[in-house]
Amino acid sequence: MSWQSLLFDIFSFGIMLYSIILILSYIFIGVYSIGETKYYLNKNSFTDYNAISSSSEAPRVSIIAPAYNEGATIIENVRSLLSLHYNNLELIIVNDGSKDDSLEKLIAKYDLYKTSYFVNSQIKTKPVKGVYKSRKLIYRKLIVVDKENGGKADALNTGINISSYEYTVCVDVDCILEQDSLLKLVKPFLENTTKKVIATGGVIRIANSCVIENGRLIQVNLPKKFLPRVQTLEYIRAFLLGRMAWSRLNGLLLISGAFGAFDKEIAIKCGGYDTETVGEDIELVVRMRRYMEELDLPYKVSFIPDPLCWTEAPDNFKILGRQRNRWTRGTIETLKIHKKMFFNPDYGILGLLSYPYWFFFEFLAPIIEFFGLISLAFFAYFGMINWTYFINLLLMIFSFGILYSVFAILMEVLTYNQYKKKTELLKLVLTAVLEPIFFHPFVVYSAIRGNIDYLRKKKSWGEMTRTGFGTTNKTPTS
Amino acid sequence: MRILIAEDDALILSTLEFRLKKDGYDIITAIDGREALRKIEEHRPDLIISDIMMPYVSGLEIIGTVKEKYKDEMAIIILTTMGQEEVVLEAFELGADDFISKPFSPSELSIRIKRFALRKK
Amino acid sequence: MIQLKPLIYLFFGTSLVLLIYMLIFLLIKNIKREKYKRWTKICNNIINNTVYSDDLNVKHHHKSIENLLLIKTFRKLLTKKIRSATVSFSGNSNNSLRKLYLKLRLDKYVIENLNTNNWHVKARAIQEIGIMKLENMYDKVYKNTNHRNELVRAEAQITIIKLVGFKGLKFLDSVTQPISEWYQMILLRELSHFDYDSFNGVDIWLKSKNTSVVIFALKLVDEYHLFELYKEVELCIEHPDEKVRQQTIRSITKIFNTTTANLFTSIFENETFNNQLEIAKALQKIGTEDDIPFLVHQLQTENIELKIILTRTIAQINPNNFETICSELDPDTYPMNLIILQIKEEITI
Repeated sequence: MSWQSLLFDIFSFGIMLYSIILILSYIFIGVYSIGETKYYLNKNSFTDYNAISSSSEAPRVSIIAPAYNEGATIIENVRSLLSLHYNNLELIIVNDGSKDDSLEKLIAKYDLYKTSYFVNSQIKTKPVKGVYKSRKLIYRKLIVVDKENGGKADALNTGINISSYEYTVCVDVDCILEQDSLLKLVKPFLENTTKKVIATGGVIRIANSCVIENGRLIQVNLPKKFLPRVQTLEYIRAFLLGRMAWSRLNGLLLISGAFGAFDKEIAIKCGGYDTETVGEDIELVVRMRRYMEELDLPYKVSFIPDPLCWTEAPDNFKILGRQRNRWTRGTIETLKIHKKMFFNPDYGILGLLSYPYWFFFEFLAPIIEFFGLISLAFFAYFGMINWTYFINLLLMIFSFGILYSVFAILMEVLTYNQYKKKTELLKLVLTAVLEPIFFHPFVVYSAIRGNIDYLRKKKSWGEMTRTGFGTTNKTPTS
Repeated sequence: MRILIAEDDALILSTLEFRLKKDGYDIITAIDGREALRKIEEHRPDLIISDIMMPYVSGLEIIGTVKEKYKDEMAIIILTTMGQEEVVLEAFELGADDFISKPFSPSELSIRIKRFALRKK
Repeated sequence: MIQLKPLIYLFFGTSLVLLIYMLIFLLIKNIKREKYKRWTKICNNIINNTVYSDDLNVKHHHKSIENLLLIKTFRKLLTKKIRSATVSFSGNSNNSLRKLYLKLRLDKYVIENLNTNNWHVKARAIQEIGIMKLENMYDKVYKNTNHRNELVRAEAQITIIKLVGFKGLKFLDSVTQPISEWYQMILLRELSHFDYDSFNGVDIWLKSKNTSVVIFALKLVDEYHLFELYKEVELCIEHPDEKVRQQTIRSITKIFNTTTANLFTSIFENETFNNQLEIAKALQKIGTEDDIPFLVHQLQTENIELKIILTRTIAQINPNNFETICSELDPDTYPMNLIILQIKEEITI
């Protein structure tokens, strides 16, 4: 046996084993999520959300929305946030050193004045220049913070410092929230009796091609362009199957930064958002979980399958590539910071299941695919590839990909059924077929770029200045 | 007298419509806040009965918009859920004329509307 | 090597089956929708007539009603509509709707559903009993107030309150399962629909082994100002559970007497940080000039959050005198200088 054929056997056995485990875990996720979703829907049909909005016992919630150069839409966005159905609420808009007239616009529109509010900097942040409140009683829920530019994580930390309520909800200011989204997001905090709920998250959906008026979603449409449409499918898979299954296992790692709620006390004790990473949302959840594990306190991270938040997805390859590149770096950074938990039984499900899953199937998957391709070229050069078998292998993976997507679409139809037109469903199924061919390779490519950028930029951590807020990890696939 | 009812619960909406039509009023219905604002523009009702929690545009925003634009040309009665004192206060601050809390008695609402009708004359 | 072909067929085949299932599901849903539209009209009409004219003679308007009622899905729809209308309307209309419900013999099916093992069907039946005030089923519901399924027991507890008001609270004597904060809120709201009626048992619940019952009892003290239970509530301040002590601080503030402030200052130093905050806030309501030296002393804490609350408490006890006290509070050093500035602004607004 030549060394090449030995290598080849190891290679094919490795790929095979990896594929089998991957497929099995996907099957498990798909099936396991059904029970959780069913349970939620049944229970939810009993819930009278009026009880929360009318009770003085309702948890007090601070919404924190960082804004950077959002002047064009800021007034609209704030108005939409102020109209959420929730009473015990304060809305903190953090102006992160915008270079445009965001602050002036807010001051004029809401009749703001500068208070002598003392900022208790429990988490260290860039200096605060001023805290503003409205003179009008009707806007008493609104607080506007003006600070020096420091990036999204720093802006969120400033918001946490200023908030006076026990739960914080972090949102992207340009997200469209359903009006009852806060009620739904907050409820899990009141429900658990044995475990402390430290964070909750809701489903993010794609708003491209939807009809939006005055900052509100009027009509849901499937995106007309291919790219956002594939992402719609990705999001359905990730949220309706992935997150639900992980939530049921109590192993959920990611609460999307676009819309998630946290127990403020725990978040502060953990030191708030990490300003050194581009994946601050996943990193915080992992750190909060780790904190609870290390103190051996029973806890839960909850997830709500209702579509609560709508966001515009990138519709060209350039921006999408940048986004995926960032997600990859965020994942790597988070995994690296918390590498201690890798297969560490002290961290329970978190160390034995969640972390390894992320390591092998989120971080490693694109790398394995990439190197698989290179090795393939290598073995093909030596004429060692059994092409029929190889094509069958590809077909098998392709067919499983379609099965998983179709299953996700079916779950969507059986539960929320957002895309009501028949052509929309047809298009969605067609997208599922096209995705592995036209979209997936690009995702792998971007992830590899992310890996390379991560390795390169490692040395120049300090000078990371971010400009925009497109950094949210809305959904890595799972 | 022309009355606009804005309420997102279809059953309550249809019951109110049925009842108030029999009482002899001219009734316009809206199933959400957006539709309500549009129909207010279009039909200029004398009285608006509006729920607070509605999709797209809340009852509070309707009060704000109407009172700014039409002053006292239109009266507004709001429907709230029991216990939402704070919301009621906010509604009055914005200029609502009366409120009634759910669950409510349709007969009582009918009497209150008669009072508004008398005042109008 | 694994045979791949069968797997490929399996995956493609299953996808196809799922797609066909989806198609059939949507098709049936479409057909049903038309029927539902018709039925919804009939149901709305029945309800409108009931609410408008207390006209219970349904057959008068809908000759076929009896046949329709034999169809399970129609019955479900009508029941759902009556249920939701009953919740929305009070007074005469509410009574008429309940009469209608009984006249159509819809209660027959509730008993059936009550006995199933399917928890959400069971919970729904219990909920219906409450909304329709079917008092004769009190015992059957009461049995479920400690059911192991949370939704079933919660609906049972809510329904018991709906049926008999304050008297229903006696389930708290025996409930061993926890009552979540959410359901405590709902129970309090249900009680608020009834005129206050003096009730017994709070003293027993305050000593319950079930901490959620203790907390709920404390909330009752708070909500209904049960001054007569001051002594019993005071004992809870030494409860081992932090949350119970926190609620105790809140509740006892509502029924305070001249010794309460002293009680607070005596336990302050041994309390957890969160409860120290709670005490500082409580003293804003019940503190007097006599407590100010204590508060000023506590300001030496390193914790800034506590400093802010304590300063606010000092200011609110006597806003007019705050200016004078400030000189004792280190008004020139950080962070007190800034805290004082903020609090001064607060008390002038």
